[in-house]
Amino acid sequence: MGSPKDKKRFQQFYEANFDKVFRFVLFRVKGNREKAEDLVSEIFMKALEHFEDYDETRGKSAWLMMIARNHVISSWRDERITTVSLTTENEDGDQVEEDFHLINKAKEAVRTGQLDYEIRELIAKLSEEDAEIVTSHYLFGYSYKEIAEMQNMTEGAIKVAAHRAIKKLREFL
Amino acid sequence: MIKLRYNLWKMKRGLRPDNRFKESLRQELERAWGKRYGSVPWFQMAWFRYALAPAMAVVLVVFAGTSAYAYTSPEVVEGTLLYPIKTAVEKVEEKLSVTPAMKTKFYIRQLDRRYEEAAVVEKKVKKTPDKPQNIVVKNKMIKKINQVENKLLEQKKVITSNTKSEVNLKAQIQSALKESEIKKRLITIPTTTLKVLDVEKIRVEEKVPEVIREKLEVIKTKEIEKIMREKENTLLRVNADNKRTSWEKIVERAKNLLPAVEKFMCKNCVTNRFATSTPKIFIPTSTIPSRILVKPTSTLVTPTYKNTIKVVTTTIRTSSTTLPTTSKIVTPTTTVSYPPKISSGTIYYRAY
Repeated sequence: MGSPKDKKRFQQFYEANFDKVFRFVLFRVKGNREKAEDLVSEIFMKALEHFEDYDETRGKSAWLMMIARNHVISSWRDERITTVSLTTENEDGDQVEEDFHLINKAKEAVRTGQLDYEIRELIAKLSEEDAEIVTSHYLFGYSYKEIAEMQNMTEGAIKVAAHRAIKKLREFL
Repeated sequence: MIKLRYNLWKMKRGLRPDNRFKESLRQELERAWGKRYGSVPWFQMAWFRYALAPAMAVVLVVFAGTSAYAYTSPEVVEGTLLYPIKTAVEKVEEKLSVTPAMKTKFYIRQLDRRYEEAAVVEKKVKKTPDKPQNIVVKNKMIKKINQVENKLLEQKKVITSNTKSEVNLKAQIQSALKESEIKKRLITIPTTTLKVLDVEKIRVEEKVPEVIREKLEVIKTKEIEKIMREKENTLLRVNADNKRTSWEKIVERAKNLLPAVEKFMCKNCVTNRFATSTPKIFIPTSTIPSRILVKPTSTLVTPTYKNTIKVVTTTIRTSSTTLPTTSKIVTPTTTVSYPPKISSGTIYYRAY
Protein backbone atom coordinates (compact mmCIF):
# COMPACT_ATOMS: atom_id res chain seq x y z
CA MET A 1 0.00 0.00 0.00
CA GLY A 2 1.23 3.49 -0.77
CA SER A 3 2.71 2.65 -4.13
CA PRO A 4 1.80 4.82 -7.13
CA LYS A 5 -0.30 1.94 -8.38
CA ASP A 6 -2.41 1.97 -5.21
CA LYS A 7 -2.72 5.73 -5.35
CA LYS A 8 -3.97 5.51 -8.90
CA ARG A 9 -6.43 2.82 -7.84
CA PHE A 10 -7.77 5.07 -5.12
CA GLN A 11 -8.13 7.97 -7.56
CA GLN A 12 -10.10 5.77 -9.91
CA PHE A 13 -12.22 4.60 -7.01
CA TYR A 14 -12.90 8.21 -6.02
CA GLU A 15 -13.85 9.25 -9.55
CA ALA A 16 -16.20 6.28 -9.95
CA ASN A 17 -18.02 6.72 -6.64
CA PHE A 18 -17.95 10.39 -5.72
CA ASP A 19 -21.12 11.47 -7.54
CA LYS A 20 -23.20 8.54 -6.28
CA VAL A 21 -22.08 8.90 -2.68
CA PHE A 22 -22.65 12.63 -2.76
CA ARG A 23 -26.22 12.18 -4.08
CA PHE A 24 -26.87 9.52 -1.48
CA VAL A 25 -25.66 11.74 1.38
CA LEU A 26 -27.37 14.84 0.06
CA PHE A 27 -30.63 12.94 -0.20
CA ARG A 28 -30.24 11.58 3.31
CA VAL A 29 -29.44 15.00 4.81
CA LYS A 30 -32.47 16.32 2.96
CA GLY A 31 -30.72 18.70 0.63
CA ASN A 32 -28.39 20.33 3.12
CA ARG A 33 -25.39 20.80 0.82
CA GLU A 34 -23.00 22.07 3.47
CA LYS A 35 -23.67 19.13 5.69
CA ALA A 36 -23.52 16.75 2.74
CA GLU A 37 -20.12 18.11 1.74
CA ASP A 38 -18.78 17.66 5.26
CA LEU A 39 -20.09 14.13 5.44
CA VAL A 40 -18.83 13.17 2.01
CA SER A 41 -15.35 14.49 2.94
CA GLU A 42 -15.40 12.42 6.11
CA ILE A 43 -16.66 9.34 4.26
CA PHE A 44 -13.86 9.49 1.71
CA MET A 45 -11.28 10.15 4.42
CA LYS A 46 -12.51 7.02 6.18
CA ALA A 47 -12.37 5.14 2.90
CA LEU A 48 -8.77 6.30 2.41
CA GLU A 49 -7.80 5.19 5.90
CA HIS A 50 -9.27 1.75 5.38
CA PHE A 51 -8.44 1.43 1.73
CA GLU A 52 -6.16 -1.48 2.58
CA ASP A 53 -9.29 -3.48 3.46
CA TYR A 54 -11.01 -2.58 0.21
CA ASP A 55 -11.53 -5.68 -1.84
CA GLU A 56 -12.24 -4.84 -5.45
CA THR A 57 -13.58 -8.30 -6.18
CA ARG A 58 -16.34 -8.01 -3.59
CA GLY A 59 -18.15 -5.14 -5.32
CA LYS A 60 -16.86 -1.70 -5.92
CA SER A 61 -19.74 0.29 -4.49
CA ALA A 62 -21.00 -1.91 -1.68
CA TRP A 63 -18.02 -1.28 0.57
CA LEU A 64 -18.15 2.50 0.23
CA MET A 65 -21.92 2.55 0.51
CA MET A 66 -21.65 0.68 3.78
CA ILE A 67 -19.21 3.29 5.10
CA ALA A 68 -21.46 6.12 3.86
CA ARG A 69 -24.60 4.66 5.37
CA ASN A 70 -22.96 4.06 8.76
CA HIS A 71 -21.47 7.51 8.73
CA VAL A 72 -24.76 9.21 7.92
CA ILE A 73 -26.49 7.22 10.66
CA SER A 74 -23.85 8.17 13.19
CA SER A 75 -24.16 11.81 12.14
CA TRP A 76 -27.95 11.62 12.70
CA ARG A 77 -27.34 10.17 16.14
CA ASP A 78 -25.05 13.06 17.01
CA GLU A 79 -27.57 15.53 15.62
CA ARG A 80 -30.43 14.03 17.61
CA ILE A 81 -28.45 14.34 20.82
CA THR A 82 -27.79 18.00 20.03
CA THR A 83 -31.44 18.61 19.05
CA VAL A 84 -32.94 17.06 22.16
CA SER A 85 -30.89 19.31 24.36
CA LEU A 86 -32.41 22.39 22.74
CA THR A 87 -35.28 23.80 24.81
CA THR A 88 -37.05 27.11 25.02
CA GLU A 89 -38.81 28.85 27.85
CA ASN A 90 -42.54 29.72 27.77
CA GLU A 91 -44.09 32.87 29.19
CA ASP A 92 -44.28 31.32 32.63
CA GLY A 93 -40.61 30.51 32.55
CA ASP A 94 -41.08 26.70 32.19
CA GLN A 95 -38.75 24.85 29.84
CA VAL A 96 -40.76 23.38 26.97
CA GLU A 97 -39.43 20.99 24.31
CA GLU A 98 -40.25 22.31 20.88
CA ASP A 99 -41.78 20.18 18.23
CA PHE A 100 -38.58 19.88 16.27
CA HIS A 101 -40.01 17.27 14.02
CA LEU A 102 -42.51 19.67 12.55
CA ILE A 103 -40.06 22.51 12.34
CA ASN A 104 -37.50 20.33 10.59
CA LYS A 105 -40.08 19.12 8.08
CA ALA A 106 -41.01 22.71 7.26
CA LYS A 107 -37.34 23.65 6.93
CA GLU A 108 -36.73 20.71 4.60
CA ALA A 109 -39.71 21.62 2.41
CA VAL A 110 -38.37 25.13 2.00
CA ARG A 111 -34.84 23.96 1.30
CA THR A 112 -35.51 21.18 -1.15
CA GLY A 113 -38.39 22.73 -2.97
CA GLN A 114 -41.90 21.51 -3.35
CA LEU A 115 -41.22 18.84 -6.02
CA ASP A 116 -38.41 17.20 -4.08
CA TYR A 117 -40.50 17.23 -0.99
CA GLU A 118 -43.38 15.49 -2.77
CA ILE A 119 -41.13 12.80 -4.18
CA ARG A 120 -39.58 12.21 -0.80
CA GLU A 121 -43.06 11.83 0.66
CA LEU A 122 -43.99 9.36 -2.07
CA ILE A 123 -40.83 7.31 -1.59
CA ALA A 124 -41.44 7.28 2.13
CA LYS A 125 -44.64 5.40 1.45
CA LEU A 126 -42.70 2.52 -0.12
CA SER A 127 -41.26 -0.32 1.89
CA GLU A 128 -37.67 0.19 3.05
CA GLU A 129 -36.25 -2.22 0.46
CA ASP A 130 -38.20 -0.75 -2.45
CA ALA A 131 -37.32 2.78 -1.39
CA GLU A 132 -33.63 1.77 -1.26
CA ILE A 133 -33.78 0.29 -4.75
CA VAL A 134 -35.65 3.23 -6.29
CA THR A 135 -33.46 5.91 -4.73
CA SER A 136 -30.24 4.02 -5.48
CA HIS A 137 -31.11 3.54 -9.13
CA TYR A 138 -33.15 6.59 -10.09
CA LEU A 139 -31.66 9.23 -7.78
CA PHE A 140 -28.08 8.21 -6.91
CA GLY A 141 -27.23 6.65 -10.26
CA TYR A 142 -26.26 3.11 -9.23
CA SER A 143 -26.66 0.41 -11.84
CA TYR A 144 -28.85 -2.60 -11.19
CA LYS A 145 -25.71 -4.71 -10.92
CA GLU A 146 -24.24 -2.47 -8.22
CA ILE A 147 -27.52 -2.46 -6.29
CA ALA A 148 -27.66 -6.25 -6.57
CA GLU A 149 -24.17 -6.42 -5.01
CA MET A 150 -25.21 -4.08 -2.21
CA GLN A 151 -28.45 -5.92 -1.49
CA ASN A 152 -27.02 -9.41 -2.00
CA MET A 153 -29.62 -10.14 -4.67
CA THR A 154 -29.53 -11.04 -8.32
CA GLU A 155 -29.60 -8.34 -10.95
CA GLY A 156 -32.87 -9.70 -12.37
CA ALA A 157 -34.57 -9.59 -8.99
CA ILE A 158 -33.50 -5.97 -8.52
CA LYS A 159 -34.88 -5.06 -11.95
CA VAL A 160 -38.22 -6.65 -11.13
CA ALA A 161 -38.31 -4.97 -7.71
CA ALA A 162 -37.52 -1.57 -9.22
CA HIS A 163 -40.25 -1.97 -11.81
CA ARG A 164 -42.79 -2.93 -9.15
CA ALA A 165 -41.73 -0.03 -6.91
CA ILE A 166 -42.23 2.46 -9.74
CA LYS A 167 -45.63 0.94 -10.37
CA LYS A 168 -46.51 1.41 -6.70
CA LEU A 169 -45.34 5.01 -6.80
CA ARG A 170 -47.58 5.63 -9.79
CA GLU A 171 -50.48 4.18 -7.84
CA PHE A 172 -49.74 6.58 -4.97
CA LEU A 173 -49.93 9.57 -7.27
CA MET B 1 -45.36 7.05 -15.34
CA ILE B 2 -43.34 9.27 -17.68
CA LYS B 3 -43.98 12.23 -15.44
CA LEU B 4 -42.81 10.26 -12.41
CA ARG B 5 -39.62 9.18 -14.13
CA TYR B 6 -39.06 12.73 -15.37
CA ASN B 7 -39.52 14.08 -11.86
CA LEU B 8 -37.11 11.50 -10.49
CA TRP B 9 -34.55 12.50 -13.15
CA LYS B 10 -35.12 16.16 -12.32
CA MET B 11 -34.52 15.45 -8.66
CA LYS B 12 -31.40 13.42 -9.49
CA ARG B 13 -30.10 16.42 -11.39
CA GLY B 14 -30.79 18.56 -8.33
CA LEU B 15 -28.63 16.23 -6.23
CA ARG B 16 -25.64 16.83 -8.52
CA PRO B 17 -22.39 17.63 -6.63
CA ASP B 18 -20.49 20.86 -7.08
CA ASN B 19 -17.41 20.36 -9.26
CA ARG B 20 -15.31 22.75 -7.19
CA PHE B 21 -16.06 20.72 -4.09
CA LYS B 22 -15.21 17.52 -5.94
CA GLU B 23 -11.86 18.93 -7.04
CA SER B 24 -10.96 20.38 -3.65
CA LEU B 25 -11.83 17.08 -1.93
CA ARG B 26 -9.70 15.24 -4.47
CA GLN B 27 -6.71 17.45 -3.62
CA GLU B 28 -7.36 17.08 0.08
CA LEU B 29 -7.45 13.31 -0.31
CA GLU B 30 -4.18 13.39 -2.23
CA ARG B 31 -2.54 15.27 0.61
CA ALA B 32 -4.03 12.85 3.11
CA TRP B 33 -2.73 9.95 1.04
CA GLY B 34 0.75 11.47 1.08
CA LYS B 35 0.60 11.88 4.85
CA ARG B 36 -0.65 8.41 5.47
CA TYR B 37 1.32 6.39 2.96
CA GLY B 38 4.22 8.77 2.33
CA SER B 39 4.83 10.91 -0.71
CA VAL B 40 5.77 9.19 -3.91
CA PRO B 41 9.54 9.14 -4.53
CA TRP B 42 10.67 10.94 -7.65
CA PHE B 43 11.57 7.73 -9.46
CA GLN B 44 8.04 6.44 -9.04
CA MET B 45 6.37 9.55 -10.38
CA ALA B 46 4.45 9.35 -13.62
CA TRP B 47 6.65 11.80 -15.53
CA PHE B 48 9.71 9.81 -14.61
CA ARG B 49 8.15 6.56 -15.74
CA TYR B 50 7.18 8.12 -19.07
CA ALA B 51 10.64 9.63 -19.52
CA LEU B 52 12.37 6.45 -18.47
CA ALA B 53 11.51 4.40 -21.54
CA PRO B 54 12.90 6.81 -24.19
CA ALA B 55 15.89 7.60 -21.99
CA MET B 56 16.65 3.91 -21.61
CA ALA B 57 16.21 3.43 -25.36
CA VAL B 58 18.75 6.18 -26.07
CA VAL B 59 21.18 4.74 -23.52
CA LEU B 60 20.77 1.28 -25.02
CA VAL B 61 21.34 2.52 -28.57
CA VAL B 62 24.45 4.45 -27.51
CA PHE B 63 25.74 1.51 -25.52
CA ALA B 64 25.07 -0.94 -28.35
CA GLY B 65 26.76 1.37 -30.86
CA THR B 66 29.77 1.86 -28.63
CA SER B 67 30.01 -1.85 -27.95
CA ALA B 68 29.76 -2.66 -31.66
CA TYR B 69 32.44 -0.11 -32.48
CA ALA B 70 34.67 -1.33 -29.64
CA TYR B 71 34.22 -4.92 -30.75
CA THR B 72 34.88 -4.45 -34.44
CA SER B 73 37.45 -1.68 -34.54
CA PRO B 74 41.13 -2.70 -34.49
CA GLU B 75 41.89 0.83 -33.31
CA VAL B 76 40.52 -0.13 -29.91
CA VAL B 77 43.64 -1.61 -28.35
CA GLU B 78 44.93 -2.27 -24.87
CA GLY B 79 45.03 0.96 -22.91
CA THR B 80 42.19 2.69 -24.75
CA LEU B 81 38.96 3.65 -23.04
CA LEU B 82 36.77 1.15 -24.91
CA TYR B 83 39.06 -1.85 -24.60
CA PRO B 84 37.35 -3.18 -21.44
CA ILE B 85 34.05 -3.18 -23.38
CA LYS B 86 35.71 -5.09 -26.19
CA THR B 87 37.06 -7.73 -23.83
CA ALA B 88 33.70 -7.93 -22.04
CA VAL B 89 31.87 -8.54 -25.32
CA GLU B 90 34.46 -11.15 -26.25
CA LYS B 91 33.95 -12.89 -22.92
CA VAL B 92 30.22 -13.00 -23.53
CA GLU B 93 30.81 -14.36 -27.03
CA GLU B 94 33.16 -16.97 -25.60
CA LYS B 95 30.55 -18.04 -23.05
CA LEU B 96 27.92 -18.27 -25.77
CA SER B 97 30.15 -20.46 -27.92
CA VAL B 98 29.23 -23.84 -26.55
CA THR B 99 30.20 -26.33 -29.20
CA PRO B 100 33.86 -27.06 -30.06
CA ALA B 101 33.25 -25.75 -33.59
CA MET B 102 31.89 -22.46 -32.31
CA LYS B 103 34.71 -22.14 -29.81
CA THR B 104 37.34 -22.85 -32.45
CA LYS B 105 35.89 -20.29 -34.82
CA PHE B 106 35.69 -17.77 -32.03
CA TYR B 107 39.34 -18.26 -31.01
CA ILE B 108 40.48 -17.97 -34.62
CA ARG B 109 38.55 -14.73 -34.96
CA GLN B 110 39.98 -13.53 -31.66
CA LEU B 111 43.48 -14.32 -32.84
CA ASP B 112 42.90 -12.32 -36.02
CA ARG B 113 41.61 -9.41 -33.98
CA ARG B 114 44.66 -9.52 -31.70
CA TYR B 115 46.91 -9.34 -34.76
CA GLU B 116 44.94 -6.43 -36.14
CA GLU B 117 45.36 -4.68 -32.81
CA ALA B 118 49.04 -5.56 -32.80
CA ALA B 119 49.41 -3.94 -36.23
CA VAL B 120 47.83 -0.75 -34.89
CA VAL B 121 50.14 -0.79 -31.88
CA GLU B 122 53.09 -1.40 -34.19
CA LYS B 123 52.17 1.70 -36.17
CA LYS B 124 52.06 3.69 -32.98
CA VAL B 125 55.44 2.34 -31.94
CA LYS B 126 56.89 3.46 -35.25
CA LYS B 127 55.24 6.83 -35.08
CA THR B 128 56.42 7.57 -31.57
CA PRO B 129 59.43 5.34 -30.88
CA ASP B 130 60.28 7.40 -27.80
CA LYS B 131 57.08 6.40 -26.03
CA PRO B 132 57.79 3.36 -23.87
CA GLN B 133 54.05 2.87 -23.18
CA ASN B 134 53.48 1.68 -26.71
CA ILE B 135 56.19 -0.94 -26.39
CA VAL B 136 54.59 -2.10 -23.14
CA VAL B 137 51.24 -2.35 -24.92
CA LYS B 138 52.87 -4.28 -27.75
CA ASN B 139 54.31 -6.77 -25.28
CA LYS B 140 50.88 -7.14 -23.70
CA MET B 141 49.41 -7.80 -27.12
CA ILE B 142 51.96 -10.55 -27.72
CA LYS B 143 51.00 -12.04 -24.34
CA LYS B 144 47.37 -11.98 -25.30
CA ILE B 145 48.17 -13.63 -28.62
CA ASN B 146 49.99 -16.38 -26.72
CA GLN B 147 46.96 -16.85 -24.50
CA VAL B 148 44.64 -17.25 -27.48
CA GLU B 149 47.09 -19.67 -29.08
CA ASN B 150 47.08 -21.74 -25.90
CA LYS B 151 43.31 -21.79 -25.93
CA LEU B 152 43.38 -22.99 -29.53
CA LEU B 153 45.82 -25.72 -28.57
CA GLU B 154 43.54 -26.77 -25.73
CA GLN B 155 40.66 -26.79 -28.16
CA LYS B 156 42.65 -29.05 -30.42
CA LYS B 157 43.13 -31.46 -27.54
CA VAL B 158 39.41 -31.43 -26.81
CA ILE B 159 38.62 -32.56 -30.34
CA THR B 160 39.24 -36.28 -30.16
CA SER B 161 36.95 -37.93 -32.67
CA ASN B 162 37.82 -38.32 -36.33
CA THR B 163 34.63 -37.21 -38.00
CA LYS B 164 34.95 -35.10 -41.11
CA SER B 165 33.90 -31.89 -39.41
CA GLU B 166 36.26 -32.38 -36.48
CA VAL B 167 39.15 -33.19 -38.76
CA ASN B 168 38.35 -29.96 -40.58
CA LEU B 169 38.36 -28.11 -37.29
CA LYS B 170 41.72 -29.55 -36.40
CA ALA B 171 43.05 -28.48 -39.78
CA GLN B 172 41.67 -24.99 -39.21
CA ILE B 173 43.38 -24.79 -35.83
CA GLN B 174 46.63 -26.06 -37.29
CA SER B 175 46.54 -23.55 -40.10
CA ALA B 176 45.64 -20.70 -37.74
CA LEU B 177 48.49 -21.59 -35.42
CA LYS B 178 50.94 -21.84 -38.30
CA GLU B 179 49.87 -18.50 -39.65
CA SER B 180 50.04 -17.06 -36.18
CA GLU B 181 53.61 -18.27 -35.79
CA ILE B 182 54.68 -16.38 -38.90
CA LYS B 183 52.76 -13.29 -37.97
CA LYS B 184 54.16 -13.31 -34.48
CA ARG B 185 57.70 -13.53 -35.83
CA LEU B 186 57.04 -10.46 -37.92
CA ILE B 187 55.58 -8.57 -35.00
CA THR B 188 58.54 -9.37 -32.83
CA ILE B 189 61.06 -8.15 -35.48
CA PRO B 190 62.22 -4.73 -34.36
CA THR B 191 61.39 -1.93 -36.77
CA THR B 192 64.99 -1.02 -37.42
CA THR B 193 65.77 -4.53 -38.68
CA LEU B 194 63.23 -4.14 -41.45
CA LYS B 195 64.97 -1.09 -42.77
CA VAL B 196 68.37 -2.74 -42.59
CA LEU B 197 67.00 -5.75 -44.40
CA ASP B 198 65.94 -3.58 -47.26
CA VAL B 199 69.30 -1.92 -47.56
CA GLU B 200 71.37 -5.02 -46.99
CA LYS B 201 69.58 -6.86 -49.72
CA ILE B 202 71.36 -5.05 -52.52
CA ARG B 203 74.67 -4.85 -50.75
CA VAL B 204 74.86 -8.60 -50.33
CA GLU B 205 73.83 -9.25 -53.91
CA GLU B 206 76.91 -7.46 -55.18
CA LYS B 207 79.29 -9.60 -53.15
CA VAL B 208 78.10 -13.18 -52.99
CA PRO B 209 78.29 -15.67 -55.86
CA GLU B 210 75.27 -15.86 -58.07
CA VAL B 211 73.98 -19.25 -56.92
CA ILE B 212 74.08 -18.23 -53.32
CA ARG B 213 72.63 -14.92 -54.30
CA GLU B 214 69.75 -16.69 -55.99
CA LYS B 215 69.03 -18.68 -52.88
CA LEU B 216 69.42 -15.66 -50.76
CA GLU B 217 67.12 -13.82 -53.06
CA VAL B 218 64.41 -16.40 -52.64
CA ILE B 219 64.72 -16.37 -48.88
CA LYS B 220 64.78 -12.64 -48.70
CA THR B 221 61.97 -12.12 -51.12
CA LYS B 222 59.86 -14.54 -49.16
CA GLU B 223 60.69 -12.68 -46.02
CA ILE B 224 59.89 -9.37 -47.57
CA GLU B 225 56.72 -10.76 -49.02
CA LYS B 226 55.60 -11.82 -45.60
CA ILE B 227 56.48 -8.48 -44.20
CA MET B 228 54.57 -6.79 -46.96
CA ARG B 229 51.62 -9.04 -46.60
CA GLU B 230 51.28 -8.89 -42.88
CA LYS B 231 52.46 -5.51 -41.91
CA GLU B 232 51.66 -3.43 -44.99
CA ASN B 233 54.82 -1.58 -44.48
CA THR B 234 54.37 1.91 -45.84
CA LEU B 235 58.02 2.40 -46.52
CA LEU B 236 58.26 -0.69 -48.67
CA ARG B 237 55.11 0.25 -50.45
CA VAL B 238 56.54 3.60 -51.40
CA ASN B 239 59.74 1.90 -52.56
CA ALA B 240 57.68 -0.48 -54.62
CA ASP B 241 55.84 2.34 -56.25
CA ASN B 242 59.09 4.13 -57.04
CA LYS B 243 60.64 1.04 -58.53
CA ARG B 244 57.55 0.37 -60.54
CA THR B 245 57.80 3.84 -61.96
CA SER B 246 61.45 3.36 -62.87
CA TRP B 247 60.57 0.08 -64.53
CA GLU B 248 57.96 1.80 -66.61
CA LYS B 249 60.59 4.28 -67.71
CA ILE B 250 62.89 1.47 -68.81
CA VAL B 251 60.16 -0.17 -70.79
CA GLU B 252 59.32 3.12 -72.41
CA ARG B 253 62.96 3.59 -73.29
CA ALA B 254 63.14 0.06 -74.68
CA LYS B 255 60.10 0.65 -76.83
CA ASN B 256 61.70 3.75 -78.28
CA LEU B 257 64.77 1.76 -79.12
CA LEU B 258 62.83 -1.12 -80.62
CA PRO B 259 63.39 -0.30 -84.31
CA ALA B 260 67.12 -0.05 -83.75
CA VAL B 261 67.16 -3.14 -81.59
CA GLU B 262 65.52 -5.31 -84.19
CA LYS B 263 68.54 -4.86 -86.45
CA PHE B 264 70.70 -6.52 -83.81
CA MET B 265 68.40 -9.44 -83.37
CA CYS B 266 70.34 -12.65 -83.83
CA LYS B 267 69.09 -15.75 -85.63
CA ASN B 268 69.32 -17.85 -82.49
CA CYS B 269 66.87 -15.62 -80.83
CA VAL B 270 64.23 -16.24 -83.46
CA THR B 271 64.37 -19.98 -82.87
CA ASN B 272 64.53 -19.54 -79.20
CA ARG B 273 61.65 -21.29 -77.46
CA PHE B 274 60.94 -18.25 -75.42
CA ALA B 275 60.51 -16.04 -78.39
CA THR B 276 57.47 -17.71 -79.91
CA SER B 277 54.45 -17.05 -77.77
CA THR B 278 54.97 -14.01 -75.63
CA PRO B 279 55.63 -10.41 -76.41
CA LYS B 280 59.29 -9.58 -76.22
CA ILE B 281 61.59 -6.66 -76.32
CA PHE B 282 65.09 -6.94 -77.62
CA ILE B 283 67.61 -4.61 -76.20
CA PRO B 284 71.25 -4.35 -77.27
CA THR B 285 73.59 -5.11 -74.46
CA SER B 286 75.01 -1.67 -74.65
CA THR B 287 71.66 -0.22 -73.81
CA ILE B 288 70.96 -2.56 -70.93
CA PRO B 289 71.32 -0.94 -67.57
CA SER B 290 73.51 -2.71 -65.10
CA ARG B 291 70.40 -3.58 -63.10
CA ILE B 292 66.90 -4.22 -64.31
CA LEU B 293 63.98 -3.93 -62.05
CA VAL B 294 61.39 -6.50 -62.69
CA LYS B 295 58.01 -5.00 -62.99
CA PRO B 296 55.30 -6.74 -61.08
CA THR B 297 52.52 -7.80 -63.38
CA SER B 298 49.42 -6.11 -62.21
CA THR B 299 47.11 -8.94 -63.19
CA LEU B 300 48.99 -11.22 -60.88
CA VAL B 301 48.39 -9.14 -57.83
CA THR B 302 46.21 -11.19 -55.61
CA PRO B 303 43.23 -9.51 -54.09
CA THR B 304 44.17 -10.68 -50.62
CA TYR B 305 47.51 -9.02 -50.30
CA LYS B 306 47.97 -5.54 -51.56
CA ASN B 307 51.26 -4.57 -53.18
CA THR B 308 52.48 -8.10 -53.25
CA ILE B 309 53.15 -10.13 -56.31
CA LYS B 310 52.06 -13.68 -56.30
CA VAL B 311 54.42 -15.19 -58.82
CA VAL B 312 56.45 -13.58 -61.52
CA THR B 313 58.86 -15.60 -63.52
CA THR B 314 61.74 -13.79 -64.94
CA THR B 315 63.89 -15.27 -67.62
CA ILE B 316 67.10 -13.71 -68.70
CA ARG B 317 69.12 -14.87 -71.65
CA THR B 318 71.81 -13.54 -73.86
CA SER B 319 72.87 -14.66 -77.31
CA SER B 320 76.36 -15.46 -76.24
CA THR B 321 75.88 -16.56 -72.71
CA THR B 322 72.87 -18.35 -71.40
CA LEU B 323 72.12 -17.45 -67.91
CA PRO B 324 70.32 -20.05 -65.85
CA THR B 325 66.62 -19.67 -66.21
CA THR B 326 65.24 -18.51 -62.96
CA SER B 327 61.81 -18.82 -61.61
CA LYS B 328 61.34 -16.84 -58.54
CA ILE B 329 58.88 -15.08 -56.46
CA VAL B 330 59.60 -11.45 -56.69
CA THR B 331 58.20 -8.42 -55.07
CA PRO B 332 58.27 -4.85 -56.28
CA THR B 333 61.53 -4.45 -54.50
CA THR B 334 63.24 -7.34 -56.23
CA THR B 335 66.06 -6.49 -58.53
CA VAL B 336 67.68 -8.67 -61.12
CA SER B 337 71.25 -7.87 -61.86
CA TYR B 338 73.23 -8.73 -64.95
CA PRO B 339 76.77 -9.85 -64.85
CA PRO B 340 78.77 -6.83 -65.89
CA LYS B 341 81.12 -8.97 -67.96
CA ILE B 342 78.55 -9.49 -70.76
CA SER B 343 79.54 -7.08 -73.44
CA SER B 344 77.91 -8.34 -76.64
CA GLY B 345 74.90 -10.19 -77.88
CA THR B 346 71.24 -9.57 -77.49
CA ILE B 347 69.37 -9.96 -74.33
CA TYR B 348 65.71 -10.26 -73.87
CA TYR B 349 63.59 -10.85 -70.91
CA ARG B 350 60.00 -11.25 -70.15
CA ALA B 351 57.75 -11.44 -67.23
CA TYR B 352 54.92 -13.95 -66.87
